[in-house]
Amino acid sequence: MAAASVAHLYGNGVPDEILHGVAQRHGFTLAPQGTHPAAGNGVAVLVSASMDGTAISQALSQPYQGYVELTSAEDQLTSTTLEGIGARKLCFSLTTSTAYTIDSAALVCDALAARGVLTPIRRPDVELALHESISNAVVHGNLGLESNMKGDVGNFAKFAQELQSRMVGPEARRRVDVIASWDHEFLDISIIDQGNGYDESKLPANMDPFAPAGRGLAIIRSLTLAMNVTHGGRVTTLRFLT
Amino acid sequence: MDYKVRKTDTTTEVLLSGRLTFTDHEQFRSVMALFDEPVKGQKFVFDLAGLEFVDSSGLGMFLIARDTAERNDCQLVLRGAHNQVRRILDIAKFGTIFNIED
Repeated sequence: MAAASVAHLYGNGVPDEILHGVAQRHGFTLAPQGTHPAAGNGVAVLVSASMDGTAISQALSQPYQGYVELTSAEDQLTSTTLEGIGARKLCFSLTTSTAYTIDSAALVCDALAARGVLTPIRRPDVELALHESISNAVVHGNLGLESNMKGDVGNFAKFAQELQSRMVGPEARRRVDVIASWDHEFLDISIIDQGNGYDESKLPANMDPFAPAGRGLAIIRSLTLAMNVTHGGRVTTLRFLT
Repeated sequence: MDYKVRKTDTTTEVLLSGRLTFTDHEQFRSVMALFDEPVKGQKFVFDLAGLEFVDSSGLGMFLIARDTAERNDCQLVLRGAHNQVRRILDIAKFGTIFNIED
């Protein structure tokens, strides 16, 4: 955790009082407005009021360690993000509504590609596995919707309506964190939600084309070297070759 | 996701485009409305040529459409998948339960 305390915060559209509050709470320093970090200049964290648009696209290739969406004073840096930043991993922390609205798997893949970690050949499988895992974190994790509901003809409309209504409820403020690290052999990506978790062992282990649920997990398994579900189902770690 | 519909006496073609993902449940309900009053023996085609990306939720929507069609003695064909869409259909072994055309 000591490493995280030297981090520099770069604001993007975040009100000053929120930025100062975060810096003070975690012992971070504030970088001058409108600047980007220089490589080798310590740990940099981008704190942004939105995670869409050209400002973020440009920032993905900059040497940030963390990309954190903070839209209100209630938004906090999660312990997983703080630990990830401290361990010099690449960290993304989004609200559920943003992770749902933007193509967040592509965003993470853009950042990995800019760091030379993801080749064009490996990207499609990594992006799909990551997309499936973020989708699980949003829909079944943070929004708490049961997966057996959407595969049923009679319940499909109900599922769609429930999804819409929870997207404007308090659950949509929960966070989705994506933490990536790599070496010469492996790329590991963890997806962390703040939902109630689930029991992975109760879902089908193999691909069953008829299965009403669990297809996303089966797809992830077939695209990764390994998928580990920990912390009662709230943390999923995907392993790929680099 | 966006879609257009092309109808003849015997066939209803739905031309899907863009990305079909877990954010499209609400939008897909209007596609499902096309299956509401089918003529027996009618053929439904999902033309996937304009689709760039489909996830497991999109596959679930295909499955629901297929179940609905078969319940009404209609058939559903998936046509023109390419790149990622072709790949995910293969991974999910949809060739074993769907009529898939090039």
